[in-house]
Amino acid sequence: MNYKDIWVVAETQNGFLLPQTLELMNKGKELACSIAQNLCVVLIGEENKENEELLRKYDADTIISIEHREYKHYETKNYTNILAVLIEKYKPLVVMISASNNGRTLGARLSARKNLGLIAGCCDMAFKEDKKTLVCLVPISDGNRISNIVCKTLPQLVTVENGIFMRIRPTEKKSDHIIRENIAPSEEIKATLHKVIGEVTNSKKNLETAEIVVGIGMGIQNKQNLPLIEEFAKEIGAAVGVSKPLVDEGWVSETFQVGINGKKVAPDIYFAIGISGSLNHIIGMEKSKLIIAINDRATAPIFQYADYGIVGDLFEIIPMLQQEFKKIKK
Amino acid sequence: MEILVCVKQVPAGKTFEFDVETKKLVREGVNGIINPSDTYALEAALKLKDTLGARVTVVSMGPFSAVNMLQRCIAYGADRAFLANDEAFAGSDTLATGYVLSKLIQKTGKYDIILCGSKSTDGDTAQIGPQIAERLEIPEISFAYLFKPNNTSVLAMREGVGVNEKVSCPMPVLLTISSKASPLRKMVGNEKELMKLAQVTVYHAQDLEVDMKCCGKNGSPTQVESIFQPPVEKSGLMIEEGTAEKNVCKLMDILKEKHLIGWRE
Repeated sequence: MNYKDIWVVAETQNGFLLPQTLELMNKGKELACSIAQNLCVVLIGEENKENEELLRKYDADTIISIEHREYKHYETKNYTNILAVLIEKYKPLVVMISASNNGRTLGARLSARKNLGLIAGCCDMAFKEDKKTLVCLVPISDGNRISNIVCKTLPQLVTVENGIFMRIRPTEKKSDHIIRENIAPSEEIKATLHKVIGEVTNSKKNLETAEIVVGIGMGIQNKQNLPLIEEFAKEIGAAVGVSKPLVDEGWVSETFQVGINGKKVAPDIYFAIGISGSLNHIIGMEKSKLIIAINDRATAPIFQYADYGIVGDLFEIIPMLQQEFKKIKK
Repeated sequence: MEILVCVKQVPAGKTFEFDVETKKLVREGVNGIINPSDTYALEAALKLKDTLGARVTVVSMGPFSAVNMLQRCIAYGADRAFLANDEAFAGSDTLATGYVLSKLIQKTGKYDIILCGSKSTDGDTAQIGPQIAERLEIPEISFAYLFKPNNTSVLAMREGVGVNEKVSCPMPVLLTISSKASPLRKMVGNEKELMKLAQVTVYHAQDLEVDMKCCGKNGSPTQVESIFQPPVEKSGLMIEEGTAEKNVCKLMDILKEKHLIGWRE
């Protein structure tokens, strides 16, 4: 039997698709393209219609959708059962699962059930020249070293760390290959969920889940100048975050604070505008995948953490940048 | 009530010795401690002993030196300890380790609650617990930080994904305990004296009637090919094109090149 295609198991919470799904899809798509195969997303839920629509925008070659009222929330045995059935039927080459608390549990159950090796907590992966063997990079001993791990069983089962890969971009081409599978809940003895404490919302502008965050620091000088940056953020579809002094001054509510005692953000792009780069703030945003710093002081510490830096007057640069983004839109 | 705790010996401290030849952690002859994440599981078990008079059994798989760590578990208050030790188990990945531990658990008795840590310091493998549960055909509650047995079931709080969950599950059940749970108590009494009295039973492959194809290197589908030091920090690029206008254009070019813009709604 020929094992082929890259699978990503979508992760949801209370019906909301979580951003790590898009991260895994991005890496999954890259892997699939590198061996000229397809990316397939497995979507498990109570009612998948909305999430299917959302996923269709991202050029997955196939979506396998499984619905049942019992699948509203993650439950290990149900998910294991579903994946065991699907793996048997479709024989994917790689199955990627989010290395979250739920994903790690699912990966482990599935590996023991199907007697498959499991590579847990991957931070990167690529195919060998044979276009079949996946080499996975797994950090060990608190990240001081990295091991290259391969797995001899098929499908190659991996859990992938969250917040490492950029999210997949929507494309013009819409995926219309949706397979619906009817898989009944597992009849084994299982845990019952009584209550979910906390909430995951789908708000796109939510600071902690936004793809782009525009961070504002004291370089903004006064409260009256804030709309300049807010407009820029709106133009590029970003959420706004601020450094602590702005909150201390009472210019912005605490909910927007990024830093050690505020929100921790890890967007695809973080614009640090007029932010000097105190350690407090750095800890809140250093996990961002691309950091662009704009500051009028060449000695500002923020430049040490930035991928790209521009020394200059933000009141001059931001409107220009906004114009450039506007041009692209058209 | 019968409680079982799975513990693992890990090297003390944050630096690990690697054998370049075998690409494995050097475990023999290294001063071993209880995997910090497993200490939360041990504490949870000892609490059940305090409150319900449960009997606490501790098991591990590893080199012979792990006997020492198991003795320490008894010194903390566990009632008995078993070690699965055999050359044939060396090089086991988590799938094989889960298999051997499930055989060891079956050999030593029947349990109402099995407790594991939720990860290990030397290879962040949160999967051993659920793998054992699958082999023993019992349900699991992973990343639990609070739980209470109740006649025939366990009520627990677990860390889900971005939320906490209140769940219940009939016994027998396996729980992996998160590091948000209570930390291990201080040992009461003299450690050396207590450890001297502690008896650990060691079982070999033969005693456990394991399928040799399922343990050690043979039973491990995952293989470490190499270990390397990650490259140091990224170094940033300053955009210095002369004028603000040129700088902005350059930045836009970079973003376009990286396909980071031009697609958003």
